[in-house]
Amino acid sequence: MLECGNALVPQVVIGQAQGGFAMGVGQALLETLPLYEDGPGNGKWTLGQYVVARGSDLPLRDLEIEVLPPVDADERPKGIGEVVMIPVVAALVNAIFDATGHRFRALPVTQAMIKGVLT
Amino acid sequence: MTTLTVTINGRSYGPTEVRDELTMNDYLREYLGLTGTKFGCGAAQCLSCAVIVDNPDGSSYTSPTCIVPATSFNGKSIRTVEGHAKNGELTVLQKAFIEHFAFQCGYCTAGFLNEGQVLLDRLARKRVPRADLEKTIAEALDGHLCRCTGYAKYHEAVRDVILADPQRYLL
Amino acid sequence: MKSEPRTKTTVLTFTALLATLISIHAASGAAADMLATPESFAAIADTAARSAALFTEAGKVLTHPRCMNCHPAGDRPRQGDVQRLHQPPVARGEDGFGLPAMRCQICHQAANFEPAGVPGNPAWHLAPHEMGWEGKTLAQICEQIKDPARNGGRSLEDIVHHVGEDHLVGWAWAPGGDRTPAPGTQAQAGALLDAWVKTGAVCPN
Repeated sequence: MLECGNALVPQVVIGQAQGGFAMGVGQALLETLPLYEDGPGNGKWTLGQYVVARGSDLPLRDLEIEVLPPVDADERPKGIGEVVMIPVVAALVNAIFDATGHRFRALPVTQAMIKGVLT
Repeated sequence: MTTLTVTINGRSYGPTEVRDELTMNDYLREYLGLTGTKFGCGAAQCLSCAVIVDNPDGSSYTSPTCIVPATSFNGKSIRTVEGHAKNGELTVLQKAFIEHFAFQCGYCTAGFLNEGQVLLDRLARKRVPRADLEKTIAEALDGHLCRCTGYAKYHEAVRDVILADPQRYLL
Repeated sequence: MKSEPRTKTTVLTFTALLATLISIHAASGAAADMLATPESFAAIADTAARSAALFTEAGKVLTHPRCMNCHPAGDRPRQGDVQRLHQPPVARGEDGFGLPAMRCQICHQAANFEPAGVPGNPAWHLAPHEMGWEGKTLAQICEQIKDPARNGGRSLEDIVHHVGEDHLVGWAWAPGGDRTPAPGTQAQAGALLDAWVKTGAVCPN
């Protein structure tokens, strides 16, 4: 659910929300980025190591986005963009806690990490 | 050095002497100024560099250009994003992308357009059951990365083009 | 932060020490990148034991990332010395040559293309499911290789020929990029398996 003031181009607001959701999934579950030479600092990283969300990682047909109307009719456009991803990350990590009983405090929470706490 | 002749969007380019290390992406963008094809990751992971290769038998496939030598396209016939519209008239898929607001920054769009068009051409030659449609689209487009859109409207646009003409694309 | 450089130095020293320990361990057998000759196994008097030892040495090739990456258990190849799942995500498709939208040979050309670091060979594709070695012990791989139902109907001589002379298999020794080649040479691997067959093709335990 989001509220962005007056939406100038509602379809792009939805599009940005869908993109922000994908970025949230990536940050929470996929995007590994160690510091310095352990990561892209070694000059050899590609998108094969820094994994971002693909279509197959996302619920393309099951994502419900609700754009709340502006608080009042004169409200100026407030903008929307990657800000959508912020609650998505929190929701996913909370969902993982709900499912596994384990609170992860560093991102991303990879499949291997989840498997590790399931035993 | 190797001699390269390639047909791009119906027009023959070459013969040109090119280094064997030249990638097709550099050939398109730097030699020919066809900058509609993008360079994204340089590792065939994002496919913003993808072009359509048309086989003599009428089938076609998409190929990355960032990691493939230009010389491997010698004698081939390809289509880039610049070659879809004819005389300013956009294709059905291009119009669908616009109507659905399928793209935002546009960097991945050439790749998605090429992949979507290849999918439409493939389905027109061999239709699939309606029940397999979502899976077919998902498999075809999954190689393409997009950071802006979250993919949803690209899939919707392709799906709606197919559903608007079911006799052509679906069993 | 003041403590940071010192922590990094400590980490680097530890890593160097670990690397030294690992290389000492590897040198205690034949070096990891070399293959022993069949003759060097003559000291093993028992023929069955010698046969199994020959296969174990050849196993250094079979279990090497250059081979294992394309003999997966599932439908996706692996990639690199670290053997992570191949990115971009590709799958074997119906014929082992990829799904319709991402055929292997679209990216993998007839030869290695160094400017992009992409390996290549005219026959680039995945081994069939029944030849998947991922997750198996060397003993299991040995039985699998000998089983005509799972090795493409090959005789033992065919297997020696396949490993020792096949062009795609040969790529493993000249992989390009920063990929570690398979140990020894293709001819040495073939010689080991030839000696293994001649001593009864016994599988290790």
